[in-house]
Amino acid sequence: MHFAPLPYLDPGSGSFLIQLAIAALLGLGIAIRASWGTIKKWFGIESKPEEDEDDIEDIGKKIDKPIVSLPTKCPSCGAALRSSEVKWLDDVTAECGFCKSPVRASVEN
Amino acid sequence: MIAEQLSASFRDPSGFLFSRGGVLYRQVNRAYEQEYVRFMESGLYEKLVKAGLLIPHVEVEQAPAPERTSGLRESETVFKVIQPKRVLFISYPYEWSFGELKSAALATLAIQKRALKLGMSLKDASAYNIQFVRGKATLIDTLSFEIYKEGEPWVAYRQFCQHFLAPLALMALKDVRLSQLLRVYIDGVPLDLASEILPTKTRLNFGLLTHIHLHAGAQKKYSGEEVKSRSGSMSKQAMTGLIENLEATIQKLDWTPRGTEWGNYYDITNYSDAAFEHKKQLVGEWTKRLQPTLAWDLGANNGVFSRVVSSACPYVVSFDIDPAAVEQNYRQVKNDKTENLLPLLLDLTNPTPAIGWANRERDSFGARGPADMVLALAVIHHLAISNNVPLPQLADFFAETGKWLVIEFVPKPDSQVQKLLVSRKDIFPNYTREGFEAAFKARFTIREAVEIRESERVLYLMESH
Repeated sequence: MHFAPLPYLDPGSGSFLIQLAIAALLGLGIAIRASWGTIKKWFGIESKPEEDEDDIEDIGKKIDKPIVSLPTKCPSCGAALRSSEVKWLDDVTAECGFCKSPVRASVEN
Repeated sequence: MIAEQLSASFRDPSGFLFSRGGVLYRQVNRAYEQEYVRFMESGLYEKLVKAGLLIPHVEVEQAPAPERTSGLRESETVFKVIQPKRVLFISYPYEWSFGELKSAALATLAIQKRALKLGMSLKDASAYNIQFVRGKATLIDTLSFEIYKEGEPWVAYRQFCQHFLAPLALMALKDVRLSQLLRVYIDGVPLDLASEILPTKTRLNFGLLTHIHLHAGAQKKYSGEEVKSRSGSMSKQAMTGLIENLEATIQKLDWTPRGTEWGNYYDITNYSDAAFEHKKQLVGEWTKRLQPTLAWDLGANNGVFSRVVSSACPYVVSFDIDPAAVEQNYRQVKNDKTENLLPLLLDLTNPTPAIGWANRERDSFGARGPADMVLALAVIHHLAISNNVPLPQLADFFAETGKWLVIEFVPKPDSQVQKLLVSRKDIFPNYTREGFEAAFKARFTIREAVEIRESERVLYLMESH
């Protein structure tokens, strides 16, 4: 039993060292997994290229939609606009996240 | 206009929050310029915002807040002022259900994984940096990132284990009520304490053995010792391994409510279907009429009436004392992808206090109000009879909590009240409809009083004056 509270000093040292130990163990597993494709190739198995989960959506959009570009700033209130953040009211009109006014985007095919 | 630095935001030298004219801004200090630019330009900001993991912000031309602490001139300290999107209700980890804390933990790890891919790393893994925005656990501290240096361990690892892993393990494997330790330990549950409370069998779980038990041991053994650079370094691959292992460990922790404190309350009460529907209909009509912006449902159970309100109100916070009911409520929010309902744990007889430095870091329950509309359905008898609060004091409490009050009076002959009185003396001569109305008229104007069909209960709509 220890009733003394943890020392006043930041107990970061122990947290660092244990991490290094755990990571060394786990890193090994990751290394095997990372080269899994290569290992499989040795046995003649084709593997699919790895895709980033976030980017799958983007690729789809690029293919079937014309390029719609928003002005960089809202004409009514001047807030910055990013096409990924605004709420789209229809295919070419977005709503400014700050003043809620509709903003027309220009369309290029 | 006066700018006021927020009392919860003082630790980080990268910047701080301040409010001016009711708008919330975050000042980015010059010391953080390099990190901020890298964060915005690497695509990490956009990626996280798109995934709903980070609060969006705009850069604004606002004068920075006057620096109180350093003697430096403005141009030397201030790099930019940004305006983050406002969070509609700030909640704290000790008010979250198991599922909510788990979502917050997994969101933190998902952010760290994405950050590592783009050469950055979280320097904080505080549960207080996560809030529920549109139903999802979202990071609200834009300045939490630093440039990742290959070889360095994760600086926020200890904090992550204390704020997330330890309480989740305690809740899942010992008792769900241990989440309340977070209310005492503002920087997360001390790992030696968690290690002591957790059942011995958790030492057989690789994740819990290493991240909690051995971690606690290492903290004790090496406390205060300097880590020498030659003691080892950590590759990016190893760091990813660590993050993924934490993720897998947390994914495996689970807590499923075995029936709530009120059991299947709605099945066993003396509500007939007609009474229940009548109550729903009244709550729905009144909400539409009042158009509240923020509604609080106190004693919400699993949120049936909160859902009625949420169809006509931009944001509803649904409080209950029972961890199982809050968990069920949150699961439904997740399942339905509800964006404007937040289930939280709250004991009305001992509501969340203000905690932290000078008791000003985290707000009390009351300080986060008042709400436009407060619902108190089938709770009055618990407060007045089980907790012995006199009716005039109840009226005071509700008047301070919101402008409009929808309250249900449950009379003494009701079986639910009889149940509370079964093992005690009835010392409540004033607990009658007349006594209730007289007490509440001191603080409210009664706008409506409708007897609920097929029951002895009365639903009131009151406006505080």
